[in-house]
Amino acid sequence: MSHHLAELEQLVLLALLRLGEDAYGVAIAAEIEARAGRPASLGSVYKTLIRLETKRLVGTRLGDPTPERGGRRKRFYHLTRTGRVALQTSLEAIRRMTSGLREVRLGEQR
Amino acid sequence: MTDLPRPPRLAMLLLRWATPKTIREFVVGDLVEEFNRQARAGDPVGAARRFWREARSVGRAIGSYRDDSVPLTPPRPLMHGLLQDVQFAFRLFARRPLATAIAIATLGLGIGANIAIFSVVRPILIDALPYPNGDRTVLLWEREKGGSTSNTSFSTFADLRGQSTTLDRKAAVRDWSPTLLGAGESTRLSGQRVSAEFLGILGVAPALGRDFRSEEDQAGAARVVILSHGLWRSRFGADPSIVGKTISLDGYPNAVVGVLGPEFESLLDPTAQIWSPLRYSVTLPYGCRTCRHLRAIGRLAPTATLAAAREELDLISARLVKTYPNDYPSSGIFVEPLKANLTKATEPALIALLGAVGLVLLIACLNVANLSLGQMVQRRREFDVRLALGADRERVLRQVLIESVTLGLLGAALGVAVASMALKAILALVPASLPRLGAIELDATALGFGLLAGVGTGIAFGIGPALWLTRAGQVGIRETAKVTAGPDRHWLRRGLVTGEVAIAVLLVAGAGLVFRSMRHLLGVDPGFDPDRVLTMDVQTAGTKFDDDAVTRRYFKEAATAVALVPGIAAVAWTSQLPLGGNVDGYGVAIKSKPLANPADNPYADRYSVTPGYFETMRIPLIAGRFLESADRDSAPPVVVINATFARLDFADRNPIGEQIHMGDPGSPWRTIVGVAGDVRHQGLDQPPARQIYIPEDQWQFADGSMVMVARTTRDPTALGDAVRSAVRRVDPDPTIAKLAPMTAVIGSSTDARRFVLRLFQAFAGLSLVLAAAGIYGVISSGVAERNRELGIRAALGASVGGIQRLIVAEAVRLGVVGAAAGLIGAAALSRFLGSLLYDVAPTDPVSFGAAALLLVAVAVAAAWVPARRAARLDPTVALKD
Repeated sequence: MSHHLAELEQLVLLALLRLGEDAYGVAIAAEIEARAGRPASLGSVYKTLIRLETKRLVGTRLGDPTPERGGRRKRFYHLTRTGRVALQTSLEAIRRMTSGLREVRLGEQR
Repeated sequence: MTDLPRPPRLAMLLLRWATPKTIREFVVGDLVEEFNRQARAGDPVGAARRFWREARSVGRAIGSYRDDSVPLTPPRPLMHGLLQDVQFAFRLFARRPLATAIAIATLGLGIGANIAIFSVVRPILIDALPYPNGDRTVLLWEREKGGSTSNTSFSTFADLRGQSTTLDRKAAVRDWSPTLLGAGESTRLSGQRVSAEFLGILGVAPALGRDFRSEEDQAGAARVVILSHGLWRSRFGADPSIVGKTISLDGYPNAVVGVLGPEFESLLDPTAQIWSPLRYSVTLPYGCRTCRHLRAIGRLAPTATLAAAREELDLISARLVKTYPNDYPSSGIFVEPLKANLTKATEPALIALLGAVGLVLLIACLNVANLSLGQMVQRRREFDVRLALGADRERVLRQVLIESVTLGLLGAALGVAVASMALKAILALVPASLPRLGAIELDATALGFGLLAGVGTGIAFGIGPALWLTRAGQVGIRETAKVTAGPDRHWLRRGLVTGEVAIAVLLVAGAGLVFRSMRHLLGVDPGFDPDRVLTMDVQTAGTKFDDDAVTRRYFKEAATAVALVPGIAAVAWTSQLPLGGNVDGYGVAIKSKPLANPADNPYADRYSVTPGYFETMRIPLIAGRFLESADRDSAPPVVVINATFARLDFADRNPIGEQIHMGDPGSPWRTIVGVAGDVRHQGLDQPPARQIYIPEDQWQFADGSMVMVARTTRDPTALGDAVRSAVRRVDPDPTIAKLAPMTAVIGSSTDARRFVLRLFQAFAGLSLVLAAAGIYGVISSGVAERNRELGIRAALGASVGGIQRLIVAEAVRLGVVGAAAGLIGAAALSRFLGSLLYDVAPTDPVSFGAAALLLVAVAVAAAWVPARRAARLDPTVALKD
């Protein structure tokens, strides 16, 4: 089954790859703001995460509750195998679409 | 820490409201963590502002997500999740092989029984008739005084045929049993004489050859026949060139004009193998207006309704009654759809069976619900955790339902195997009188029914536990331990078991009623002594028997020959055998009590018998004398009547010496010389009607078909061969249609009842086992959960017997409450057994009491093992747990 990823979905998935074990809501939003230079509200990030989880592109794991969170637990996200494939496919599509175009040029890809 | 600023409360509320429960904890946690970091870093205002901003973003993004009424977790691609859930269910089953096997076996029995009964019932009650015009085919009956119906005569039929327009085609039908002569032994066939339009009305055409032509249905026309597929194969080797050949029936040549296809079912006479045109005319003696021995069928015209046909035929009938007032007892024609006619006799019994087997399935469901409820308790923690971790309720509900539906389908698969075995057993038992026997099979529809039953039961027994489980989601995990032993589950499980007991009582009481009816029925005195009586149907065949003297001489010689067989004490012939399934009635006129309208003459069963019949059958003499060999052809005509006749018509005087005549007004007056005891004729459950015995020599014609009764000095079955060959030696031509002890004849007259009884017994037995298992399960797990309490009791000095009594008392409570509910149900439902009951009230206290006692006893027995286990508990161990 192929998944067509929206832009924010791509960014969230890429953020998960970058953050590794530390990927949770706020961290993901911060990573996107910092690297992609575009605003990412927590709401839109969570909404995307819910959607990605529904599509089984991301999995979750629970962290321990901490006092800083008022005793609430943290939910960490990671890419599933399907998620990885979907991301790969999606980026590959962009690479092919941009290949040979002068107006846009991607950095070195692999 | 205390002076640390807190996130804005209003924003917090918004946040909580906007986020679905499944992710609320994490979203709120994230924001609170950010807020705390920023606030602690010395920027509480910025932290609060950011908190607000993010809360609004969550509200917009996720809140609108919800407002779009898209499910919070939209369904995954259906098959994907389904497959996973089913896999999960199978893993679960593998972890509890025993419980799963019990559940599947329980459902398999319940569903299997239902598939089997459904297969029996479907061709009769549900399916359309197997004729293209089946739904437009109707039967026509004359109306008797008092609303009953009777056959019609050819004269009446001819008038209806000519005058009715609502029925576009009509046919008259009569039974026919020709004897097929030819190489080898002669065979008596079962067939029908029909109007030429008969097959056309049904919409059926022969597979080979052609249908009858109207010129072949004229008096005196050449004889032609159409064969059934079965007869064509068995007697004519499926000869493809049979059409045009001639076969010999009763000594007359008959040209075969057609052969029906294998799919043709003869519903009007399931035994019919051969058809021939009626060849009647109104001028024939047996075509007379009062010669009511024909069944009439018709096809509703395309534009006509049943109501219109009824109206029209009643009008025609009224005209006929006006023209021939002395020939009709009452006005009106009863128009009955063929399907209604075929189902009415068996429908009540079949519906009772359907109800009973449905109840068996209900018990099976309750049992499995109970079983899975027991398991769910152990799984509740699992589900609480899953719910707490954010699994949504529908998801969990779906998982549980998929588990139970999977179980239901496994049960259905086993059920199909059970049904195919049960159906074999049922077909061995099924009475031959059941219509459409040949259509009973385990086909795709039955399998579809099984599938539906599997899914249905899966949902039925899964929904309760599933709702109970997911409701638990509102309870904290820590509270789970308390809840497992909580009262609500016990209430539920006890309720389920009480329901099982109630249904079992219902079924056992029903089986008891049917059983006691059967006992009463078999206890009915048939009016003669059936022990050590051999009966044999003999039908003369061949043109030489067209001479009455030859026929009479043959039967006399055959009787003499049989009397010489060692072991035979007495022999006689009768034109019809009590309980043998024949009906041969005549209108009777009494000379001293003439009726204005001869059509009002009461009917009486006619027995033409040879001397010694009463003595052989041991029918008691009440007054006067029996028939003797002196009452021959040339002697004054005499009759013996039965006690009912004497009571109904000669209550005020001595019947001996009175004169009657039978049938045709021109027939001679016969003097009553004796009164014999009543004999059950139509069935043990049918009160005797008027009966008349006539010396065979004095009846207006020699019956070509007679039944021999022979009293034997030993087991009659052992004499069958000797009797048969003695008769054959006299003349090899006549056919011996049936040779059976009288007790077997009586037995087969109760076949239909016995069939229902056996099934009821099987269902009641099944329900008892299931209810016992249910009681055992609930008491036994009750004991396990009360270990601690029971340990304390034991430690405080409760005696072993006391604890046992405590446990057994609980079972008795279940039994008594269930039995009470079951009896109320039985009282409400048993009237549906209706005609299955004989001489037993629908609320027979013996059946009801026995059922209730039996279930309480079963409850005690089922509680015995857990009770002993409880009594043997070691207090120190129990308290440590």
